[in-house]
Amino acid sequence: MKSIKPRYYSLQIKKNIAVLLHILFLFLAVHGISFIYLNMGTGAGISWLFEHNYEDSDAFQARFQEDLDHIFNYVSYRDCLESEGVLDLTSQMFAVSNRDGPEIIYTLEEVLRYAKSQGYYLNDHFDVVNDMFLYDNAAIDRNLRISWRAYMTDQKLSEPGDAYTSLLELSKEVLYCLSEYYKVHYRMIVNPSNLYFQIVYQNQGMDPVIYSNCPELSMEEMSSMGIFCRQSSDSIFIDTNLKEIPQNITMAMEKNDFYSAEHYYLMAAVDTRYQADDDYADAAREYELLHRRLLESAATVLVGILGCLATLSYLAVTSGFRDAERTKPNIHSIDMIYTESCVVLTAVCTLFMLFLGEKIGYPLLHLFMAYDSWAFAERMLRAVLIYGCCMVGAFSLLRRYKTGLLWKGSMTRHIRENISLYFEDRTFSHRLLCGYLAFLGVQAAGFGILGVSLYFLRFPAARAVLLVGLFLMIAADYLVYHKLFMESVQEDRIADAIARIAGGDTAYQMDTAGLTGKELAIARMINSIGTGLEHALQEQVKSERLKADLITNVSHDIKTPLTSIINYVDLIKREQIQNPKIQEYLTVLEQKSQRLKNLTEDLVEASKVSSGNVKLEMTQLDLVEMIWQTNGEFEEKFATRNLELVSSLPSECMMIQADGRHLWRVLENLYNNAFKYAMAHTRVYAEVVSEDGQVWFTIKNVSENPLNISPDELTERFVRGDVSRTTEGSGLGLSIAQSLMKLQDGTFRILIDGDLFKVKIGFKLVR
Amino acid sequence: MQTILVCDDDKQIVDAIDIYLTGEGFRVLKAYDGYEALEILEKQPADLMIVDVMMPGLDGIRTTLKVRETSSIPIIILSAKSEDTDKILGLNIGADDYISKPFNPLELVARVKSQLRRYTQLGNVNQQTGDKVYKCGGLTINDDTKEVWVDDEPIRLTPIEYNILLLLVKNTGKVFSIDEIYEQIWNEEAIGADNTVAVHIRHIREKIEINPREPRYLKVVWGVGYKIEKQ
Repeated sequence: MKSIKPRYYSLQIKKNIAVLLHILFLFLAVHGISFIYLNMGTGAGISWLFEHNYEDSDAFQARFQEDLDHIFNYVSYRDCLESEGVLDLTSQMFAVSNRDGPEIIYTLEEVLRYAKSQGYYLNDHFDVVNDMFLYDNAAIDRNLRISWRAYMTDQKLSEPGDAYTSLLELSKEVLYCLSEYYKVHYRMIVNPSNLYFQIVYQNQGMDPVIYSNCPELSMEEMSSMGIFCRQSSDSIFIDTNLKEIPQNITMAMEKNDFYSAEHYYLMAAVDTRYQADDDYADAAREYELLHRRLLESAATVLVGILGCLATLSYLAVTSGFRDAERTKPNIHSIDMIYTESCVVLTAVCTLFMLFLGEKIGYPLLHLFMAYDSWAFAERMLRAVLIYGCCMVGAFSLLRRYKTGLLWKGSMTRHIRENISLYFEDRTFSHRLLCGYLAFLGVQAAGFGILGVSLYFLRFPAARAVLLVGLFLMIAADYLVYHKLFMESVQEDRIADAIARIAGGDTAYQMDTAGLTGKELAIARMINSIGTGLEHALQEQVKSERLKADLITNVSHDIKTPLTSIINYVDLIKREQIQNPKIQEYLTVLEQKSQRLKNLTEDLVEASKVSSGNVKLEMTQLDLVEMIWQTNGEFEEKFATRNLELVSSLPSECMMIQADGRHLWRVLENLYNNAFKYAMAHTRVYAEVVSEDGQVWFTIKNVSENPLNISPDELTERFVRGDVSRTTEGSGLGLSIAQSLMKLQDGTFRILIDGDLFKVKIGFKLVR
Repeated sequence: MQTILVCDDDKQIVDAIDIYLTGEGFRVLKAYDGYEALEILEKQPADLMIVDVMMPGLDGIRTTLKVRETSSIPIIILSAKSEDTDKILGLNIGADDYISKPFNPLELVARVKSQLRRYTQLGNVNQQTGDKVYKCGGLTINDDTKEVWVDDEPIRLTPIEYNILLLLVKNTGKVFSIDEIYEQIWNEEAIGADNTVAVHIRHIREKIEINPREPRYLKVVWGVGYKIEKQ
């Protein structure tokens, strides 16, 4: 016991550890999936796996595009805001006139002041913000007519309303220009940046107009930085190593060509070493970090799933048994209920857990998760709950399967067994009635459904029901036919078995394989009948043998004293006693003792022959020759009673198959019979004829005593033609002859016609 | 005087046999079981032994086997068992003759004499020699003198009977059908033969056999014919 217990515990502990590990791996997988799902954004697939660098990512592309747009805005607005390379507050921004009033020119400073007065200013990200709301009619009144705007030189005023605006609108426009200017100026020109750009417009004989944060760099230097993009007026081709070509470059270049330059070009490059500490460097660092985290999460998912599978398979293999040898079944209380109930219980538990999850789990998740990821987190929670509950149920089923309870403990089986109660031990008529009623029920239900669906045939659902219903009905009808057919087959087999047993094959046992229900019971009964019959038959043969043995033994015991009687009677005779009375007595004694001797011998022979306890040596012999031989043996004997033997035998041979010695015994008995019971001075006829392949020997004599006895009775043992039994004879002769003929496959018939006694024996003619 | 050992557990039967054999001039030794018979044989030699099969102690079959280990005297088995199988068994283990109970005293005496004659004649077989002497066991035919002996007893036969017997003895073991015998003896073609031959055969058997119902020499092969058994 001591050696078993630790093992048992260790397996249980192993299983518990496996369960814990499974939960752990599951958590890993869920965590990894959630991280990837939430951080990657949907729609990109798993291409992130191959984007090793920030430059390959869409985020970089978007940022680059955005920065190019900023640069083009800078190019548009720089010249009207700057003079001599610095921001000039005195720059004239626009000119307006109020109705018919004079044209007023606003400088940058004036515009900024007005904007400030209205609450508009630029924050530290150079975005236009308004932190106060003033409702000023004058400010929003669109009554100013625009004369010109320095930042929008190519403005075409096509509609009447276009030319009128409010001062506030114009101020906001200027602020926007300033914002764009500052963004590029501060981020890329004043501060170090990883984005380098050169935009150059050049006319022949004039100084080129250059917009750049790195005018000293050559094309080659810039293109070797990493990511670059180049476009020149010579070509429509944009030379870049970006994943996607930036949009609007050519259009923006042309739009900003205020000088009608003969030659211009754009060169923008990003230093992918990110030496300068700017947004690009930050974004690249973040991207690197995220990418690494995604890869880690992918690995986590992989490990989690593999671990889940491994622990699951280990649990699947070990579950259901208490020990490693898999001998003791491990059954929990949940495994005791019906299989179907277990499934239903699992479903109910799952629903309940989902309900609990919604009421408790969701709020908990909401506490920890960002709003955006709530939906996903809830979905994951539901999946985990369903998985957990189903696993419990699945393992219960697995344990049942392993311990063989799956079918044994199922409700279906119980129902089936209970239903079979209706059919077993019932009469055939009862079974037929039940079956027929079930058939009628199915048929009626089927036709009902078909009728209803035919009525609503215009609905597709009804058509589907019609098809399915038809199919089900055909299937059910076929099932009924199949069941009836199988039962009929079984009944046929039973009938066959009965026929065989009735035909004498009492040892026949029918094969009960494939038989069911009542047929099986009947087959068993038939088998027991066969066994009983066979038993009785063997008993009979055995008792016949015993009887024969008894008779033989008794005769042996009689023979020994009989020997003394015969011998001493003979000795007295030899004494030559002259008393005639004694001579007479001696004659009686001699006759009767001789009779007793014959009786015992015949008795032994009769019992042996009738129990079949004799050896047969079948040979081919000539019946005609045999009758001649027999005649020779008996002629003189017949003459002593003045009987004339008349033979009518064919001259040719009549070959038969028989045992010569036994046949001689038959003939001897028949001739002796004739000798004993024929009327003296009559003829005894012996003849042999052949007909239809049979050879018949007939012996006829006229009986001395009237034969008021049936032929059948004559062959009974100890029955004799003379009821008084005064003549010599045991009464066994005909019985022995008949039995011997039967043993030799011959025919034996006794015919009685008045006093004419006739015995006919037949054999099959051999040739 | 020849000595005969009679062994049977039934005292009366032994006594009766004693009376018959003594009357024929034999000396009779009596034993009532197998062991006694063997003891007597050890003390004094016997010329013939008659032994019952079913005896207490050593039965007839085993006694016969014991005797046969040392002696070749004729042994006649006497038994209540009359079936063929019992006879065959007795003869196979070394007995010379078999008589079933109840027996005819005259038959018993005849058989004893026959056995003794054959046994004592073994030395002087050449008593009758010549080209035309035919022998078969105890049966001797001298064709010169037309004489027939069975166990040294002369037998009287009619000429036809003699011819039939001669034909059969000359061809010992061969089976002759009624037609063949008829054609050989009468020198005529057998036309729907009758039972003449069979009747003659029966007469011969009655003359040369001790018990015509159980012939030793002239045997009937039922449905085939007749033959002289090889001895």
